[in-house]
Amino acid sequence: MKPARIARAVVIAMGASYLLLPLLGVLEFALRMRRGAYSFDAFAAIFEDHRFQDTFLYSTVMALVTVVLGMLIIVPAAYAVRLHAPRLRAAVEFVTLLPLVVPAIVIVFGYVRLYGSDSFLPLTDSDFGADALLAFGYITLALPYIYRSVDAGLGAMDVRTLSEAAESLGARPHTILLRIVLPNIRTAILSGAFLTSAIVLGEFTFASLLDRPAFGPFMQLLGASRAYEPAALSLVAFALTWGLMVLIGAFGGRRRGT
Amino acid sequence: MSFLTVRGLRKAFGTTIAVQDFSLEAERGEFVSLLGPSGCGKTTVLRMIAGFETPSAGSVTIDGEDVTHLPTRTRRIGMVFQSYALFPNLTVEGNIAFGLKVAGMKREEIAVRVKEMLSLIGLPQLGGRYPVELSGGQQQRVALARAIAIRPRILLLDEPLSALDAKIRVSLREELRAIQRELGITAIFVTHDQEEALALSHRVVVMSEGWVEQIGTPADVYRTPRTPFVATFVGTANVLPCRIEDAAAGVLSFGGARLEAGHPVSGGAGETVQMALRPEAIAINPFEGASNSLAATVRDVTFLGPVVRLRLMLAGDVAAVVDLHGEGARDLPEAGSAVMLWFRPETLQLLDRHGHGAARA
Repeated sequence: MKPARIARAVVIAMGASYLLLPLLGVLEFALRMRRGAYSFDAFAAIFEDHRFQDTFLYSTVMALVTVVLGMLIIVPAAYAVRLHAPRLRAAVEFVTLLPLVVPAIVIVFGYVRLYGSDSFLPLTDSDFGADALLAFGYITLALPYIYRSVDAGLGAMDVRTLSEAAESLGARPHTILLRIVLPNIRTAILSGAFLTSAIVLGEFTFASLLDRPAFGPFMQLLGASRAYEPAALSLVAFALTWGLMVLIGAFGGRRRGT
Repeated sequence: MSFLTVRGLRKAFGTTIAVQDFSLEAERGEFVSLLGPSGCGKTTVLRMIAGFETPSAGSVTIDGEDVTHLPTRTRRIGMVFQSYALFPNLTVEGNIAFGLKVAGMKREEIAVRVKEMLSLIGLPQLGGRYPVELSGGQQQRVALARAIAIRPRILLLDEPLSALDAKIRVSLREELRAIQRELGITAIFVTHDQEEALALSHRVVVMSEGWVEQIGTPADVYRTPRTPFVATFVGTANVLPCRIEDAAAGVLSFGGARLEAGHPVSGGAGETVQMALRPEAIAINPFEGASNSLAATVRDVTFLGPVVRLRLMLAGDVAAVVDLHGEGARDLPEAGSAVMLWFRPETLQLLDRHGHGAARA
């Protein structure tokens, strides 16, 4: 075998070990719930726990709401910036990156101060209000991921010329957005949507401080009170995230003609 | 009033003036080319006619309707882009049908029109393909079909052949010409390729640095260029600085040689004017001592297939080019030899001394 191939194999093995060894360790630990034997008891305990089902369902719905609202806000904005204000792109990109710089706890405290019980809009007083607040918070958190993937998708197509071509054929802006732009950035939208879903499913700070029954706080609660179940739960969450990534590839690769 | 009337169009981007006082009248069914180098403002004019750019001044009228401030979608124009701009997510049929669906046409009528368009562009079997599965020439045919499917009042073509290779460009050029003539649609064609403009157009608008230099038929623009820019941009021309000897008789002098223009020349005696002479209008050594003869030294002889090109030096270190064809290209002088050049009086063209904006007059 050539030295270059050996070096490549060593590097790949090291990288794989770095990723897989901790997972194998966690899996081995999760399987040791029953004394003296390997079993799936920890996994069974999680799936039977109604709190897992409730919080997972809640976070899935929140992820869906976040993705839909986020896309409704961000796709037209990114399109408008690309088409009508390309000079503002750098500024808009900077703003969308702020959630990565400003800690989530700062944002959520700001929300609580602004929309608390003694504010002009006391959203935290009702479940629906708190859920809405959480969704808006998640949109803020997802902003860098959605904006960047959508903007990259728009950058990959000649959005200006295609829009002009559609306009010359009589199309209105919403027709262009729905029938030309969206289908051509489908992969970018899916990738933003699944990244957002992965973030929302594991998010703790917003949900905990707004006291919402989400999956993130459930994972933390379980981790603080049990030994084997948190290990099993972390593997389940990991599998869900990877499942979403596989979906991105599957849906993204299915398009024709683009 | 003409079918398309463009009056006094001006476009400024900040402090940069892209188009200055552009006016044009085109009749129904006419094919007009905007010809000029990159940055001359030709695409900006087309985009203002299309409605993609708002003019800083001036107006655009189509079939009696002032469309200057109307959005593009209501102007009923068809546009073909250099980059084809086919919708990647739609099939060929989907692309052609797009404008018809937007217009709310019935499904059966759309199917008939799409079929008709596919047949017109010679691609009846490719309706189900996606743009990425087509060659450049096929994509541009589809783009043309999509633009004319909506039966536009005017067809605007923005360098549609520039992205294609030479052979396809020539064949598509012929098809484009045939389709335009068959449908009788008014077309405005932007190009930097003089051959394309001359081959396709009823009239050519030559532009430079935002100004119209000359508007005329291809033959007019080639044979009687009005400015040094038109003379040198449309084909090759020798521009000779001549001194007027007798303006009324059209007699000039160049490097001591007497030149006859064959027509009166505007200007006073002793004034210097620029005269254009096409390389193919010059012959070598025909008559010793005749008028319109110029002494020259051969610098270089290049064989170009049907043409042999001679680069020469005239009196006063003025460079000149002569193209020899057929019999004239048999006994060629060698580089460094002295020759006598001769041309017919009517081939000598007086150029406008003002250059830019000459066509405004």
